[in-house]
Amino acid sequence: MRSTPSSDPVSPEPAASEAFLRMEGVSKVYPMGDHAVFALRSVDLSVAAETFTAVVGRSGSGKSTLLHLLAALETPTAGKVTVGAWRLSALDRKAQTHYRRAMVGMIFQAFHLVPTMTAFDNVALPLVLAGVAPERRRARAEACLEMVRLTHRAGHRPAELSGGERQRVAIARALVADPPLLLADEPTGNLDSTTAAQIVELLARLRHEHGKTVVFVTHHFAEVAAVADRVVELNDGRVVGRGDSPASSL
Amino acid sequence: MRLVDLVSLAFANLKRNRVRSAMTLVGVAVGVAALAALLAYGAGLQRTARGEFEALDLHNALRVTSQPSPLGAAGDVAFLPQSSFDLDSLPPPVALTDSLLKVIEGLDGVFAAYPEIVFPVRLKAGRRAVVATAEAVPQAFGALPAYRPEAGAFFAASTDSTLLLAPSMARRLGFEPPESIVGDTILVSSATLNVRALRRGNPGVNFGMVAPPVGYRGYWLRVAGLLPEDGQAVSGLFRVILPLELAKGMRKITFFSTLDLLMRGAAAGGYSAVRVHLADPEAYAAVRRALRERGLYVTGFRDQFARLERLFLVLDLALGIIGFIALLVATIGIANTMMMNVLERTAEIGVMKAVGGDEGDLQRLFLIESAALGLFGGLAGLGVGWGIAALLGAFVDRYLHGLGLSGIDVFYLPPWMAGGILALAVVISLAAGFVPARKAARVEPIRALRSAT
Repeated sequence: MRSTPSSDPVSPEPAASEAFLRMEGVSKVYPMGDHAVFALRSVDLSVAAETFTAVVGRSGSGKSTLLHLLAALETPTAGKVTVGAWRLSALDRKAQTHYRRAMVGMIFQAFHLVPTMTAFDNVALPLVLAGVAPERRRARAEACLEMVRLTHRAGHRPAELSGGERQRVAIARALVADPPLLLADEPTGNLDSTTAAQIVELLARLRHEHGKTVVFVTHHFAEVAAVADRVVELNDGRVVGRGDSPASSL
Repeated sequence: MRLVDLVSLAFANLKRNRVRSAMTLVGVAVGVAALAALLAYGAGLQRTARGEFEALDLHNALRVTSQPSPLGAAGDVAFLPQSSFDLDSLPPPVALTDSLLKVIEGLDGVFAAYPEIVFPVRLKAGRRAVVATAEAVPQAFGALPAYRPEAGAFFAASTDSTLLLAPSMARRLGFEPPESIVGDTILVSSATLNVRALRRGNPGVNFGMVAPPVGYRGYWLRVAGLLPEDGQAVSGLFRVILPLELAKGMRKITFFSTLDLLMRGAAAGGYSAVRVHLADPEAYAAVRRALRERGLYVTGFRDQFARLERLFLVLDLALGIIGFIALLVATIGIANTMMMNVLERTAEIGVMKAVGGDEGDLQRLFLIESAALGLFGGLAGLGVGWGIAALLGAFVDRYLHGLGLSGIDVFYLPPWMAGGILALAVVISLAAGFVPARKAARVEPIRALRSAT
């Protein structure tokens, strides 16, 4: 049992057969003029299904790159990324789109809602993009707004919502296609501590109630310590610590 | 993504930047209006010319001469060798006599063959006088629709001292309503050679002087009827119709008599020229060939009109190019607007990709926005173009009515042309939106999302 992940980097990974999400020897290199910048270096990671994994580290440690690789928004320079039956490193652009539609809900620090759309329309957007019929997407968007307790704000535009409400809309949007994997990229970064705690609590509840696998990137381990099953610490593109969080042993 | 959702999203995006979209629409509308107005002007001119040609039944008319005529020989110039204009190298001319006319009338598909008698006249009714061109037609022409009077009647006999004219001519002579002229007698004067002046033998007299050796001969003719204005739309200002035998007997200097003196027609005898009117337009080529085989020179009005139509084609092309350039400039505005939209919405495009947006859908979304600008700009432009055409057409009509003439279609925009312009506006708008749409589709979601934070 640890208060910070780096204090005990030897906690066991899930067995390969149990892993829902797996990274093997993954590196990501960005060419910058004459030299290369290593965002990730030979990362190995396994995450079991329906768990809450916190990825922590300082700015530039490679947290967001790791998340982008899991979302198939980027491809690894080396190594293998597998999510469920999807081998992401082998996907072409079209298949990447299909993967994101089927498997991933993304939540961003800056919310990234479409400013001209209402909360309802923002939530329904992934279903619109996937070509889902209006009746089905209406029912699903209403259900997701209900999950994040925002039914009463469905007709409001992002500018009319508080930061916490915007992030809840973004979470509802991430849930609307019912993906098994939720990737949250510092979703509390723009929120006050009270609201941040509510968002973390909401994601933890969704994981339990709806069986989602959550990968949560944050600067502040403390805010997820109570809910995370596992913690992975990155530094300079390497995994420098991993293990069960206090919450997993409760 | 469903098409209805793509269209709905595209319209929402255009509404988002109302001012920019509106300005772009105005640009396209101006371009389309310019193209529509210019093409409608060309089409209007062509339609007016064709309408006049058809109303006068000229597509069924041939002009026959005994020698190559330097006037109106458009149908034959390309056909004749250059030496045809060297009078000494030509075979003896065939005299255009009444017996030859009978032979021509016997050819299959010929309705009538009659001598060409066209000469200037002065019409006087009360204190008003106008100058016109008198043209003689045979009695048989009474059966042709173009010569069916809208008031009064066609000549009762070819020797009647009567004439037919257009309502606009009646108005110019001071008759309002124009039908009131029917039955009235007016003075028709033709120009004749003044034999006495010629005999005086003034060596300084020639036809270029202010007082040439000509006189006038007046005839009191009754107005038998009014010909339809439509058939006289342009020429109604100048043209009156006389019975053939009456015109033959009138003293006059015809347009072609001087020419005949200079060429060899006079030596051959007979008429200067003969007009052949066909009963069957399909017989045109066969009759022309038969006449040429008899050593006659044939000018087809249809050939002349074909040349005219080629000129119209060139005119239309020139007008179309000018209009197209205007439209092209407008579509550069679309490209600019769409590029701005892509740049402004880069983050949004990134989000859409991150939440499952397909590259093809994003490209289609921006193409639909471009096409919508082209479509609605095009519709507005057609409306404006039609409005301009209607306004200018009304001005021209008013001016012509002031001259006592019926109106003409200065602008004519047939539905197929309007549809073509609209389709062109949409197609080049799509082309203008292609690069921005492609750029949108190729946006790297990670870069886009980073740019927004």
